[in-house]
Amino acid sequence: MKKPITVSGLIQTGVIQDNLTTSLPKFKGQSDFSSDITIQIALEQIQPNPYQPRRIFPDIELQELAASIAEIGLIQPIAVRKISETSYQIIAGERRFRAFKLLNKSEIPCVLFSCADADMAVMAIAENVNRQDLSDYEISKSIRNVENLFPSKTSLAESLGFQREDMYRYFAYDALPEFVIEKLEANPRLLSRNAAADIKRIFNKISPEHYEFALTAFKEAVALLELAEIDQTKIANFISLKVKHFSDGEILEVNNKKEEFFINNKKIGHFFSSHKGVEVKIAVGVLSYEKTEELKEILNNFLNSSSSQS
Amino acid sequence: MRDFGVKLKLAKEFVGFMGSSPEFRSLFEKKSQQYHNTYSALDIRNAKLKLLGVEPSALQTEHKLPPIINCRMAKGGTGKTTICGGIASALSMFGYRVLMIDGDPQASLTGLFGINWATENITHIGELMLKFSRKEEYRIENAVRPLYEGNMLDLIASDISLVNADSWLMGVTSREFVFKKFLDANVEFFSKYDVIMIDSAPSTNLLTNTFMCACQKILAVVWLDGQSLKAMQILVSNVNELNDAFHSMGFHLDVHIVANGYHPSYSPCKDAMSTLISSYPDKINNTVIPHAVSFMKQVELFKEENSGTVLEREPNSIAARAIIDLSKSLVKEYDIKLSGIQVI
Ligand SMILES: Nc1ncnc2c1ncn2[C@@H]1O[C@H](COP(=O)(O)OP(=O)(O)OP(=O)(O)O)[C@@H](O)[C@H]1O
Ligand SMILES: [Mg+2]
Repeated sequence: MKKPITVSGLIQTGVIQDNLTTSLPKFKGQSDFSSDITIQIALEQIQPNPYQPRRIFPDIELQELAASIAEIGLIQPIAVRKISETSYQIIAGERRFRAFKLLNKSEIPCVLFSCADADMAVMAIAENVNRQDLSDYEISKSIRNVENLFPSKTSLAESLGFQREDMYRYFAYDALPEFVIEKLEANPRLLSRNAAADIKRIFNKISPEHYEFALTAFKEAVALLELAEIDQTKIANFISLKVKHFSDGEILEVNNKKEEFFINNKKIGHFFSSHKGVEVKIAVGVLSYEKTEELKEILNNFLNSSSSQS
Repeated sequence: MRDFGVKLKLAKEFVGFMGSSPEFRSLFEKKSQQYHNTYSALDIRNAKLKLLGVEPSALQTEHKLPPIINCRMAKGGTGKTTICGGIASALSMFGYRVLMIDGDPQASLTGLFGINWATENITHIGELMLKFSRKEEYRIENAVRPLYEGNMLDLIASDISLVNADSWLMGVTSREFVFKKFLDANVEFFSKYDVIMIDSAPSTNLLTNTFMCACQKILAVVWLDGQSLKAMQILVSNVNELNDAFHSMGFHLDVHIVANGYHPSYSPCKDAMSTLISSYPDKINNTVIPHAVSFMKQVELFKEENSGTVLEREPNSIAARAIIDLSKSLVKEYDIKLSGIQVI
């Protein structure tokens, strides 16, 4: 039997687009009408937003906020939704809520909104995506968390106001090997979404027989990254070069070849090539000033002629 | 009364039964022979209750109105009636008690189930509401026709005289809420059902408005072409207007959209689909109803033997599958419960 037709299927296969700019008039939402009446709600009746990606609120910040609230009062009420007769959930304003707790207040001014899970998730994430202090990896995890509240990735992207491209970058972490996910769990800033997407692209391109090799190269790169010896934006390139050399038939040793120069059995320097480049080192006093200039010129001519050839 | 049942495979799917077929059969007391090995809506309901460990007679119905699904579109021929009847029969076969109200003077839902409004004596919803608002005697029971055994699918039929509703509604105070008040006043009766389905006419008038004002979420049935999108604009302004007028009373009407008539080789329907999903990404049901001959193989009006929904006539067709998938998602979307029990 033929497969049922679904909106998500039509979007995925590119039969229809979900990002046209011309659109039909909107249905007004409930909050488009809300008259924003502030009410006082007891702190113990209020629960945090389960979709809030930010779990850590630095003490200093909270104390500063509490101090300012103590001095001038709460300027903006927090937004909550009712989840039962006696309990509410924060839609926005968890920091203010925590500051109120610090101040030992018993209640806090709130505005009631009716808000579905999906909207709630979107608000919590949207509030945080542009913040400096939340890493791409944490955002990607919170997006994953709420993904099933939406009919499709596209509608999720739309609700969050992301470009689709960008959305897929956040999803790129999923394709990364286990070892790096473990590292990200400990240090979420290790790889940005762009770096993750680039690496994912490389892994998608390489043929299966090179996979193990690429994985080794990736591990090597991450080790270098942790030593701050390579920039995260260069990792994809690092892996791809290694794989390329490997598949071109060159072995690793060629790449890291070191040859030493001797005069009268005395070591006076070396030639070293690696993925970082080619290095020629010659000890002090071996070359006169003229010889040094000559060598520079030879190199210059050599480099210019070889680059004009290619 | 219609004699409709589904075969083992669908019955198992509808009950949500994972075990073996003999185990499944043993859920039923009566010898299935007499049913040609088919399972009726009531069979499926009872099997579900049994698996939940609930004694049907022990069910206590809370006096609370069930969810209402009103099929709407400000344009004729978009499939409102086809889909309304289709969903109603599917939900009933999932074991839910369904009441259908034909809210269209054209009475096509009534005709879809083989009832000849020209010759039968029909008490329609307009008459019930009129008597209610004039505080006259009425009995809803007399207006209700059982279609599937055990009140699994009931219908309040309609006929051409329902057009009169608009003129008397005009003179009633808070006329938009007459239907809602009628339901509230008879909550004991309506709470017997797990869901109420209403088929509406395409017009924007007092009758279609009063049905919508009893709902939390209407079901907009869009036929995938340019014209239907124009009609969507009318529906949007209709809904926004009602919300504008009554939000201070705490009223808010939402919209869920189902796309109908998709045909892969007809490009305007892809454009229409793109416009729809771009405009209302969070309101569209993921199931798209295909353009299928099974829907059209209608139904010589008024002949009971030729009548029926696509699920009844061709339960294994792709058309029936689309209706089943759609109906499953509506159970979630509209929070439909089996006598107040949430079945997951
Ligand atoms: N998906 C479909 N594929 C093919 N034909 C369809 C489909 N849906 C509906 N139809 C056919 O289109 C016609 C109109 O459908 P239907 O009566 O359900 O529309 P409606 O919106 O209720 O119309 P009205 O506005 O007159 O009440 C019918 O003949 C029906 O069989
Ligand atoms: Mg109709």
